[in-house]
Amino acid sequence: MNVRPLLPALSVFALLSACAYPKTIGEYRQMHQDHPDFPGAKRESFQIAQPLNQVAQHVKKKASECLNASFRFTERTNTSISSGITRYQPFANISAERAEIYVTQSGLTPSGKERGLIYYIFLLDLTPISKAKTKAELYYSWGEPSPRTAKAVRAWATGQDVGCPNLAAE
Amino acid sequence: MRRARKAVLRLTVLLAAVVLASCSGITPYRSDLAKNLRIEPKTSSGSLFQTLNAGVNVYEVDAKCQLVYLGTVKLKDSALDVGLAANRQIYLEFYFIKSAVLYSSSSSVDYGLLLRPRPAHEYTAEVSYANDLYKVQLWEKARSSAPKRLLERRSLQTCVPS
Repeated sequence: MNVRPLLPALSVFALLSACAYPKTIGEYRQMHQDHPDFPGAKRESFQIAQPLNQVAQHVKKKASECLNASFRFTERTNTSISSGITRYQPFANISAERAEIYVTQSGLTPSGKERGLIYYIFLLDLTPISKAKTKAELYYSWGEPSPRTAKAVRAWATGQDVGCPNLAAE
Repeated sequence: MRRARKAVLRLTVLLAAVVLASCSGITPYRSDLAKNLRIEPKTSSGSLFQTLNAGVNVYEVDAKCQLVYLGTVKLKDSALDVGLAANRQIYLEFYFIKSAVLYSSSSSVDYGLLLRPRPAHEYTAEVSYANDLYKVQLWEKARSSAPKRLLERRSLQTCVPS
């Protein structure tokens, strides 16, 4: 079985071994806030000298450009073969008071049929500090592509264009 | 006799190359059109134990927004120039394939954009891949020495059938 596409989800699963699996982005945030020291859980906070809406719209634009992707995989061993599609999808909820931008990962069969489970692998929360300043909080977990995605999103939020993270690379 | 053997050997190698090229499914993009696109690649796998193959598949987009494959340009370390038909809808699909050297594993990612080259304009595609971050930027410049401008990416989904 190809485990690599499931690593972020597995790390979240490990994080949550004693709890309920997050079924909403709110639960994913709560899980990170309740277990900040759990191995694999990552949380970063930083400030940006730009208005909330400007930061949010820019990150949303880059996310839809770079983080909306599907990858086919096939893994062969001596005894088995497995294949399917890993799909990443970005979402953004933006208001005047706050913004949340997150990415889900789901597994599809080779024919494109949903396997059922959706994992949250990354969340960016934005809140205004003042009219010209924004507070950013990143939540993600161990296992690529989450850290690589966080690196890119952090750069986008601060106005740098570092390109797109390769979600398929190991 | 020796000359005949050499000729047979050369023919065999040539035939093998032709067979391999046809099996790979990759057709090199060739065009006699004036060179109006410069591709400037800067790529690195970031590891001695991994290789990176980069290239761009060139398609023409028909009236139904369907892709017609024209060929592939493989990207090496140096800049290269290609000719694209002006006033035609072109889809450039940049791809990056990363492979492990010591074991069987590879991953690929692509980034496509629509372009309708304008007559008397030149285009530059800056393509980079490093630390598993990739970037493609397309610039347009009129031949009459106007400053170049960065083009907004247009994805295939923005194509409207006519």
